[in-house]
Amino acid sequence: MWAIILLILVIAAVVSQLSGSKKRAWIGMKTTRVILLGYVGLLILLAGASLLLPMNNTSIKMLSEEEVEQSMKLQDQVISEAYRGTFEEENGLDVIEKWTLPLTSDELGITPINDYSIQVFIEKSSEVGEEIQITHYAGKTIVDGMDLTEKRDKVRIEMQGNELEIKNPSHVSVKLAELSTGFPFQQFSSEKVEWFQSNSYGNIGMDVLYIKAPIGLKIEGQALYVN
Amino acid sequence: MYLTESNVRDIIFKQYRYKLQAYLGIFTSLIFIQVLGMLFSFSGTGSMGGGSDAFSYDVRTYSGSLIAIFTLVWAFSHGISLTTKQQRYDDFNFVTTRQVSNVANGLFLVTASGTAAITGLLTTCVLRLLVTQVLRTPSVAGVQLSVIDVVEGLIGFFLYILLFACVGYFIGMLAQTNKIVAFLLPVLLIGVISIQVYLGGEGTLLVDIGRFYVLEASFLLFTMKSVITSALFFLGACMLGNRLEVGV
Repeated sequence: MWAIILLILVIAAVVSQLSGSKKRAWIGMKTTRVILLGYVGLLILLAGASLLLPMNNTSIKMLSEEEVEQSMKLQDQVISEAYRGTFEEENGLDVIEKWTLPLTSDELGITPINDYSIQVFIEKSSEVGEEIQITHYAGKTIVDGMDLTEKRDKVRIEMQGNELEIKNPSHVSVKLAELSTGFPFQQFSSEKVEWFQSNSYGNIGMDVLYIKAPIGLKIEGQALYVN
Repeated sequence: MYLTESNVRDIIFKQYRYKLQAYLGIFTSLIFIQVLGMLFSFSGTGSMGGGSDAFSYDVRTYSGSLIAIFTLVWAFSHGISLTTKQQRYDDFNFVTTRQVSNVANGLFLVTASGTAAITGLLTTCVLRLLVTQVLRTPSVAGVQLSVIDVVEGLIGFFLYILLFACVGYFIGMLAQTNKIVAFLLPVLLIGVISIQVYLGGEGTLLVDIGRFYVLEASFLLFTMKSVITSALFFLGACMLGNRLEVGV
């Protein structure tokens, strides 16, 4: 409230000063000086408070440029290797969830609900019996160095008879404020700032389902066989 | 033999003190312009967004850049305003010469620039506080600056403000020397930009000039560039001022 009153007084003082003629100014020099000092005092007080209060009031992890680059590379590498037929279980991507679902027949259909975009890789293995083992991996979702992976909802998996339904996660919308000192305070900082071009970026991590199925299982649906 | 002996330093100091008192309006307009910059910045100085089927994000950037730019505009306009006939005549309330008047103006510009740099930094801090406490949007600090970065940034900001003030002072004095210059300068500026565009390029004259300073990551080199340019503009303005007739 006091800040608003002070703001109104400051604007009134400015208008008074800018009106040019000292005779017309309804705020005297003394009052103007008091307002100026009051304003500077208030600025110092609020600026001090801003330094004491934490700026990062979210649990969002900030990644360094190297970490961002590594994570992008990793996602591309895993996907391209999988397309070439190789999929490592310990591949470095985040494991979101694991399921083990029993099979009721020797056929399995894979149906993404609502055409949810997800990469499905299948490995036929003698290690699994009358069940399928599913692992959900996800690449990191990074926006301007902020790791938003944990903000995303999870993919839901359900077995309906011999149909494996992949249900899309609920839509999550994230609103964030990025605080920056800006020009010219960042000019000499070690963090490189491009003033004449935007260096903002956002990457939504890719969802990957890796299914380990018994050798004899017939699978229908959009999926790639690996290993 | 006079009843009162006065030396140049005393006169400069008296004039400087007089200017601090008389031009209080410059500081109130500084506050006004910085508060205005803060209010404009409150809606964000940049934003980005994106999304997929299951996830979308909207990131708004809040920075003090707009406050800084508004402050530079203020410095430029007040550099000009110091050269008006009325302001120059005020100096002759004292026993003075044009050199003394110029030095007092220089000191006043340095003081005003220093004050503007400090209040600009403080206003940026207040903006951060308002964004986190009033808007209540989950916030993250973008680039983390060290104390050295902030100190260098503050000095850099001061040098930018001083540079703009000196350029304004020079242009103001140029316009006082010849009124046609006041019309010719913007025409020349727009003309050069238009010619650049006409020749198939982009009208990037101001951006190209800006790059010389803004893209300078070395603090020492930037200090040299800005101090030398400010000094050249200020000396140029003094030389022009010396040529002005008393009645001009």
